[in-house]
Parts: sequence; C-alpha cells; structure tokens
Amino acid sequence: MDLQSLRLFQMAQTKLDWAAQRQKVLTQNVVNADTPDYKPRDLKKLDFKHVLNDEVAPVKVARTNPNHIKGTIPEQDPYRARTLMKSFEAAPDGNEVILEEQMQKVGDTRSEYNTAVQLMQSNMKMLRTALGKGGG
Amino acid sequence: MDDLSISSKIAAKGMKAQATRLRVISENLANAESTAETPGGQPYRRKLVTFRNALDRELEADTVKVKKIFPDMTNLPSKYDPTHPGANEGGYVLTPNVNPLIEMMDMREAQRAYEANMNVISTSRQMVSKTLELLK
Repeated sequence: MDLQSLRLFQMAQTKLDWAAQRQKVLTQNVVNADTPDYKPRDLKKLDFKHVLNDEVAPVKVARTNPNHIKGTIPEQDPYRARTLMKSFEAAPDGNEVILEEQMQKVGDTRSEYNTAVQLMQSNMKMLRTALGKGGG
Repeated sequence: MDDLSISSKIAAKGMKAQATRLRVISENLANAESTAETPGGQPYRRKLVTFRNALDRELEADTVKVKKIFPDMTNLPSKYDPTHPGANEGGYVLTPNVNPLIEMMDMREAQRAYEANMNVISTSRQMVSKTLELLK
C-alpha cells in the first residue's frame, strides 16, 4: 500500500513541502538583507480547504494511453512565492527586508514543519499498532 | 536538490558576502592611520562594499554577491604636523577618511547579517534531522 493514498499522510506531506519551500524563500530574503532595492517575498498561507480540493497541484495533461510520456517536469514554485507589497519600513537604499521579521518567520516555519513531522510520526505509530507490532 | 539543503547553500553564500564586507572593514580599520610618506602623496582611502542580487541558476534562487569594492571619494581630512614626512609646505598632512565609529557600526551590521544567515542554516539542519527521525 502506498502511504500517499492515506489522506492524513498526503496532508502532512503537503505541509512539509510548503514549509520547505517557505524556508527557501525566507533564506533568500535573509541573504539579501543588505542588497539595495531588494523586496522580501513570502508564500501564501497553506489553506487545507484548497489542498483537499487539489487546487495546489497545477492542471496536468491527461494520459489516456500508456505510451504517453509523463506530463511536465515538477513545478519549481508550487506554492507561489509573492513579493510582499505592504512593507512598513524601507532602508534608504530601497531594501525592505527586516531581519527580525524574517527570523521570526523562519522560526515559525520550523515549528510548522516539526508539527507536520510529528503528525506523520504518530500516524505511522497508529499503522504499526494496527499491524500488531506494539506501537505503544 | 531539496528546498532545505538549497536554503543552507543560499545562506552560505550570504555568509560569504558578509565575510567579504568584514574583510574590507578590517582593511579600513587597520589603515586608519596610514598617511602618505612623501609630500603631495595620497593617504589610504576608505573602501566601500556594495551587494547585488544574483540569480543562481543551479539553485534557482536569488542569492547575493559582492557587486564591487570601491574607494570612498569623500574629502580627506588634514591635520597640522610640520615634522611629518608627508607634510606639505604649509605643514599639513592629509589623513585617511576612515572614521572608526562608522567602521565599528558597519561591522556590527555585518555581524548581525552573518548571524542571521547562520541561524537559517542551523534551522534548516534541524528541520532535516527532524525528518530523518521519521525513520526511527
């Protein structure tokens, strides 16, 4: 059985992907904290209503024949990183990154990531219990 | 490559850029008293660093690079010291336009950005190790 066929695992996986991509975007902001005219970017909050409706995944070409090649390469930016329009502080050189804000976001992302990992772990425990191998 | 290791790599590039900045600052501080040896000669001129945003094609992310290191062309202060080998007919010596206070402040800023990048690396690593815990 594929673990991905379980909704719970699928949701946890989506959360992990999202957190990892957000981490990447935030790193780019931190790295450019002193670059003139740089505007910070961020991902949209993950909304499970959309995830469950499979709205995150882009429209794929249907494969009606086994000889069809598998659609496109995986999307680089599945959760859409956006430049933040509202900033409340810009340095004289046009840079709008606030390190404190970015660090707080990095911490946030980490705890969200850990939550998802924890969720996966307890789901796995449940599966083990069902298998009768003493999941505790 | 996964997003988390990409994050670490981007942050490492940021640390490299900040380290270059620190190097230039230390050059400035070391030469804060470097005057000319002959009359009419030029003393040390303070150097400046600028950063620019650079797209890394391998990581597919915005990283940071040192754009250029150039001399600060502000006026050189002079002091009266007729016994100095570099003094002109009037007895004045041109001194470097290095202000230790400004350099120290710049240094703090570089250090702060460096630490922020280091924080991002350790956070990303923690996230990766958390994921590996799933194997337990």
